[in-house]
Amino acid sequence: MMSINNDGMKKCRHYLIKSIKFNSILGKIDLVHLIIIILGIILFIFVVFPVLKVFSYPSIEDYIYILSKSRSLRAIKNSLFITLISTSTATFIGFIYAYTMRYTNVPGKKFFKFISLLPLLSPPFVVALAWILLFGRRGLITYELFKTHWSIFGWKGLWLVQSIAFFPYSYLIIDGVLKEIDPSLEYAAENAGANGFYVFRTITLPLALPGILNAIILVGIYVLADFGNPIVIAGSWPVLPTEIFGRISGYYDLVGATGLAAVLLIPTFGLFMLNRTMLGGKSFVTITGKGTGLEKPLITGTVKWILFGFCLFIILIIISVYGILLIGSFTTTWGIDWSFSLNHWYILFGTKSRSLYNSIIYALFAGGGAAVFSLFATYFIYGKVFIGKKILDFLVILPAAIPGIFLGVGFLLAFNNPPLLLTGTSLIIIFGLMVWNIPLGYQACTANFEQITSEIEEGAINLGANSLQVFKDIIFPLLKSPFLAGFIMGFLRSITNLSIVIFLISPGNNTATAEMLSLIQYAELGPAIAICIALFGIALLVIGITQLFLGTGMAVFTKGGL
Amino acid sequence: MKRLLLVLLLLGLFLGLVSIAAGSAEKVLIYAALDSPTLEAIAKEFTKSTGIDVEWVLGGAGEMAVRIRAEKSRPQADVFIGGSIDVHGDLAKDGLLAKISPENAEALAPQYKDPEGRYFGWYLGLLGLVLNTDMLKEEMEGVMPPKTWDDLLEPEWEGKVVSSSPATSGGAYIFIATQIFRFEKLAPYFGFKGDAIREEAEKAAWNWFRDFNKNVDLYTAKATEPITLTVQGEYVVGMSWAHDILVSVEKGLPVVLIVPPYTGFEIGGVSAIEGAPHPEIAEKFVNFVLSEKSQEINATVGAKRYPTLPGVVSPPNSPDVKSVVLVEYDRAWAIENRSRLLDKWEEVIAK
Repeated sequence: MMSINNDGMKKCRHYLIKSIKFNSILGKIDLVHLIIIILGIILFIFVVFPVLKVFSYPSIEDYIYILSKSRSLRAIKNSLFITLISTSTATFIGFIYAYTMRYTNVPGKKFFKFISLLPLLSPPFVVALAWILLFGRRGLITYELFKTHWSIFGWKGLWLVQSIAFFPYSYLIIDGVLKEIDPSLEYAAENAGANGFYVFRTITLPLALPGILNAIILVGIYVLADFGNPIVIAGSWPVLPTEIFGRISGYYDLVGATGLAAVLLIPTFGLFMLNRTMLGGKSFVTITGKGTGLEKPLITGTVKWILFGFCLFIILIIISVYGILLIGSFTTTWGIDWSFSLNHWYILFGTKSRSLYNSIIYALFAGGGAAVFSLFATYFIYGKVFIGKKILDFLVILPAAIPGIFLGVGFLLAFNNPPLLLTGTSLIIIFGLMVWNIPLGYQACTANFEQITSEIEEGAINLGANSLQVFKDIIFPLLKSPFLAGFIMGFLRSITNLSIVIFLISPGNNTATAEMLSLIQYAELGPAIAICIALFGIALLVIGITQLFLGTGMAVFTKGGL
Repeated sequence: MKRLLLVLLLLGLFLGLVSIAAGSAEKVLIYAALDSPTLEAIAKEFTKSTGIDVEWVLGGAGEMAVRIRAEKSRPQADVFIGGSIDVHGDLAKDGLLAKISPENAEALAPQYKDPEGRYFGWYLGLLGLVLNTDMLKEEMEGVMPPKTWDDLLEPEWEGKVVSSSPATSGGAYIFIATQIFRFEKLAPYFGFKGDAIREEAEKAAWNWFRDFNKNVDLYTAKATEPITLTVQGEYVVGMSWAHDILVSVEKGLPVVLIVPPYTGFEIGGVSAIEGAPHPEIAEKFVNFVLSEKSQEINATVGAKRYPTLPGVVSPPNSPDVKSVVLVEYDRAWAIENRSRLLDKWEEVIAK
């Protein structure tokens, strides 16, 4: 089967090259430039066009109207405030976590690392409901255990929930930087008589600073765009993403919603540009010089156990949140009647299985498409020199700055007219998710691509290989691992996405996350939790398979970038 | 090993393509703002009697309305079902709904249908209160359950009440209008006449909301969330739709439904979308929703709402619709003043 495919590919390529040669108009354009043009067209259609569509939907008067609303102004202020505090705590927790995992020999590190993955895989909404059950006014932990009447609703609760939800991102980024710090510097300082904290303050922390800044920026983008947590936890304390949704569901006002979506893009885009100009757009800052093979100087004594206690506290919260969900999917009525029941799973596999199946398929296509596109973009955009390269490079990475809710609305507005009729099909969902995931794959591939010396490529070309052959025989094998990482990361993010798909689903093309939301809307919590657990199971299964076949299950997250 | 992974992947992609290509049989595409048990039952019955498949997207009424608006140039669905006729009326005004004349609509009373035949009311839903009886005993010993809307203003209810936000929920907006129309009944007794009646009623309603706001701890995004939170014991009493509350009552959970006098209500709408992909089937489906069979399903399955067709069974366990005191709901005024009242609410509450 493989050989037939290869033969077929060769023939196709043969004819493709031939037809290009004989085409008089395209006569002067070689294959490389043709591919660059195709990539450029794809980017303009699926990135630039939807963004422009959103910006141009409201008129100037509409913008003035929506921005004169006191509620809009409150949402903007609240968004900036919660982003500031949640990002700070998430980065702080992430740093402590990364430091503990790198600089101590606390027991159960593998377990700690595994648990910290869970928030990265979680579908929105339902997890926030688990927080209420545990930490609400009558919460199992806040009330039953500690007898307090603390209420999770409002900005304080949102702060707590977002800190836990987003710290894993900063953990992974900072961990990547700590890993690269040459331990011999730290040893040298210690040998010169510096105490542990002095070494930390003067060497480790300054060297980790680029990673910390990077984590702050990326987590900031995630918090700004977060919709699932505030819609459940924040009550009538509006933030921008929930206010956009409110304009739609309470005012039936798409114009106002797009106006606010355009406003939301300003701070996320600002952070994104900061990341690009300040840190060169890399998720991971690699300090030159390979590791010396030295072990990190380990922290011991009281400090070690304080760090351990801190991390333990964090994962106990995570375990209780996800544990209560798992239990919830097997009980009669979540929070009231804890008797065993498979009822929710019957409902899931009875009437909701189609959506679950759709979700898997869409995520496979979106993840695969994003990985393939990133691979091509790495070689033909990042790896070549041509006029307009900077623009295309920028466009490939731009979707990282676009909040899901913005992208969803943009696709809905952009692709409902000929010649690009996509609404009502599953293709629009796949393309939307694909575009959203391209920056990840691209970042992973370009980071590895830098390590491929151009001599290998030039050598191959001198020996008579054409660009496509170089791409297939040299570039692809060398980039296989970031390619797969991009694919799997894209799959995981797609299958748990709600903010994009909510605007693009159509009758017959429903997804599991959208189904989950509608169940919650009509107070059918049980089946919604079962869907959440099923999505979780699929995500863990995929990571497990990756681990089994490639030996790099968890590494997907670091390789895939963020 | 790796080859196996590749084969699995290709298999997955192949199945995906098949699923995308499949399904060209006759069908009706629906945007629904409805609980899924009710919709599933109606769809099943429709397929049984006509052989036509039903496919749907389920969401809030506002989201569905916005979808219909955004897809104006090329509608993606045939029928819009559920959600108050306010939402349908808003779409009809801009020419987004088709004029049809389903024969079952003839039996409907005039207040349940658009004179131009663009939307039809197929159920009646009441606003009510959900009360957690266990929590009342535990947290508020000796306090009587609320019987009227005004009981909720008593100081002992401070922090025990949950409602939903009109900024995100259609039901919560109807609740605001309901209070205005309730005070309108009283205004004449204080000597107000003509236009002053509504003006004074509105003022009184905002004062009422200022007091109500003192006791409300949380305004949720969705109309049904207060039920979930009251059931879980987070709050003692919540404002929501009576039919959705009854679902929890019938499950045997420790909650009861209270329908205070002078309550507001929604008329649930169904309409065919202008320029729909399957216009004839759309009309057929709307006609089916207005049939006795479907009205009976509406009253007995899922969230049980009152039918609008005369002579159909009332939902079991619900208060008799004749015994419930409704406000005189001026729907046209409520729709017209929507944006203004929502802004005013924001000003009054600002929590």
